[in-house]
Parts: sequence; C-alpha cells; structure tokens
Amino acid sequence: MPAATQTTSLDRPSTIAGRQLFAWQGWSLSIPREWNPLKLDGDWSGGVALLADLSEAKAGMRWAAIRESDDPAEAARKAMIGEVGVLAAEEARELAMPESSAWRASLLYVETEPPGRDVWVGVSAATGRLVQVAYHARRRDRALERDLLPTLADTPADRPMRWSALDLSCVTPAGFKLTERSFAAGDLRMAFSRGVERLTVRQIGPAALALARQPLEKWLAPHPLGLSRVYRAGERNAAEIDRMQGVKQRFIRRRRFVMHWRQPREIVLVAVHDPRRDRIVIVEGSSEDLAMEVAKSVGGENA
Amino acid sequence: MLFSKKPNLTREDSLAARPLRNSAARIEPAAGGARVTIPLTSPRWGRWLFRYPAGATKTFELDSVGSFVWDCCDGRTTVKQIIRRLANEYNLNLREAEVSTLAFLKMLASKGLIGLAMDAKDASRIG
Repeated sequence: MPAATQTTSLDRPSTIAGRQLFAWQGWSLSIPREWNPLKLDGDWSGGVALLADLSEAKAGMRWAAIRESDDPAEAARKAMIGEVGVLAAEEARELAMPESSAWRASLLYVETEPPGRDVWVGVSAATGRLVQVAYHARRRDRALERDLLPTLADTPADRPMRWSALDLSCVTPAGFKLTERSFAAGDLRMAFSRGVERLTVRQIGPAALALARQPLEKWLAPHPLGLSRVYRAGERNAAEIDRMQGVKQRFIRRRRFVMHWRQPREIVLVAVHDPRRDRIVIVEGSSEDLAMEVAKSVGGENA
Repeated sequence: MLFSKKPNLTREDSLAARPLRNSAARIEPAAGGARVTIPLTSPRWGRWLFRYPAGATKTFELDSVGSFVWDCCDGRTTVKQIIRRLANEYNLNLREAEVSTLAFLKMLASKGLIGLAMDAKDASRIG
C-alpha cells in the first residue's frame, strides 16, 4: 500500500483549446467547452455542481464550509473516506497545488482500474471551505491532475466575485449573494442582493432573433407588477459600454412607498446589444454606477 | 395493447435517434422562417365518432431557428448532430442548444410532424 504522505507535484497544465471558465459561489475552474453545468445547488457555504457533456456526466464538485477549529488535513481525509471509502482513501496521496491557488490540504485519489472516479479533496486557504472534485475517468488520462486542478481557484466572499455558467459571465462587487437564478435556453438570468441593494444580470441570445421580434427599448418594458406599483418610470437615455450601444432607464420609488425601506430608492436598468457575441445584456441595479460596472463585466471571460 | 410497455429510451438512445420529416408535410417559405402544412387525419379511436372533412390541413409557423432544425430532420442526421449544428450556426452554448432542440423535437413529434428513426439493434433492445 503506497504511503499516505507521498507527495506529487502537478505537471504544467496542458493548453487545450476550446475551454471555458466555470465560476460559481466564489470558486472557479477552467473546463472544456463541451462541458456544462447540469445541476447547481446550494450557496456559498455549501453545495453541489454536476458537469456533463452531451453524452454523460464528466465531473462533480461539492463544497462545504468547515469550522475554523477543524484541522484541514483531517477534514480532507474524512471527506475522502466519505467519497471513496476507507480502503481507497488509504491509497490517496497528497498533491502539491500551484502556489497561486493556496490550498491548505490537498489529497488526490486516482482510480486504479478505470473506468471509475478520480477524486480530489482540498481545503481552501482563502475561504476555509472544503472542496471536492470528482472526475469520471473512462481511461487513465490524468485529466483531473493535469487539466482541471491547476485551474481551480477560490475567492473570499469579501472580494469581487466572478460568476460564469453556461453562456453568462459577470463580476459582482464584494458582498453580493446570489438569491435567484433562471437558466432557460436563450434567456439566462442571475439575481443578487447585498442588504438593500439589488442586482440582476440577464442575457438574451441570439440577439439577432430577439431584436427582430422587438427593439431593444421594449426589452426594458416588462416588469413584475410589484415593481411598477412601487416605482415610477424616470428618464430614459442612451447608454454606451465599451462601444456597445443601448439604453438605460431609471425607476424611482414613489413617495407614498417611502416606508418600504427594504427596497432601493431607485433602480437603473441598462440594456445593451453586444454584436460581437450576438447577445442582449440587461443589467438591473440599485444605482447607475452598480449597473454600469457590472454590465461592463458581462461576457468578458468566455467571449 | 392496454398494458403494453412504454419504450425504455436512455439518453444515449434519444441523442442517437434520427428525426425524419413526415412525408405528407408540405413546407413553404414565410417571412423569417417557414410554414409547414400537414393533412389532418381522424384518430383511430375516434373515427366512428367524428371525421375531419376531406382535405383538412393544419399549418405550423416556424421561425428561422425552427426552420433550421426542420431542415436537419432528414432521417440521416442524429439528434446529437442537430444540436451541434444549431450551436455552431447560432453561436449557442451546447447546453442551451440541447435543451431547446430536444424541446422543439418533442413538440414536432407530438404534432405528428416528425418521426424518430433508430438503428435496428437499438430498436430491438428498447422493445
């Protein structure tokens, strides 16, 4: 039985064309373009993600916050046992991760007779979260060690956070938590909140088809009933973000709803057409600066 | 017939199936897409109850994306290939292309506009 303290350094990651960034709840991973998230559950302190291509499941991720008093190495060992069993966990070896990614504990189990699952467990130094990555290996290809793990990174909750799933990517300011998401074909939406502040990022594509149905201004029009009751439409102006043309509209809270302090005083909607990606981006924020800042970040990573 | 087993289709079977247009369907170009017309036939169970008038037809409007998928339903192209072609043509994410294509094909099949051809060995396994 190989010693549990055997350490292996990661090889330099192979550069594979056709990759995309998958970033969710603070952690990020570069995955092949063929893979997409099939299941996303949980929040920052714990959850699961399942990645699959058209044919089959390819990888799974699980993350959970652990107590500060817990020993990272022991937590990783227990998680590995829970994932692959006691006997297989004894064959797991420590894996030296790139210094830039800062992982306190790192264990890798490689299936001895594929097809099977290669499993990696680590504790992030940045957030203290335990992260598990399971790769469904059909043959001995070391994809987990060489291609996936070198790109795994974690971001603390008090820093700007990148989000990237399917075709929608953006960067939210520090402190914003995901409250809602809707991934329908051609219409992707994520909603965030930070106290009273609200932020919604929506992407519609292909834009050519969407704009053939109605012009950009009309995409600002539909709103939930509550919004139109509490807010009155303010001025509408042209908007330009990085040479993308669009419109922005302000909605101001009506005076009689001054006691609705949980709702922002104003909401600014920005809608721009990105001809390069053929997408319409609509950002709704509780201030113009917020909406414009986030709108600039949409689509930056996977363009 | 009452207790006949439903075919047990796996995901792989669904993606390997080859949609085929209804031979009785007529297609004509329309603004931004196409129009598909099929003759209406009375269901077997209801023939003694009512019949459609002779020559009755039903028309479906397809947009450009729908027309593209319709054109791919030639009995030789698999569902998987249609998804990839759609993703490439409209610069869509594969998952978005998959969800929308499968939903559209399901709708076409429910309306009798397409059938699904499968390899003989897969068909015998499914039953």
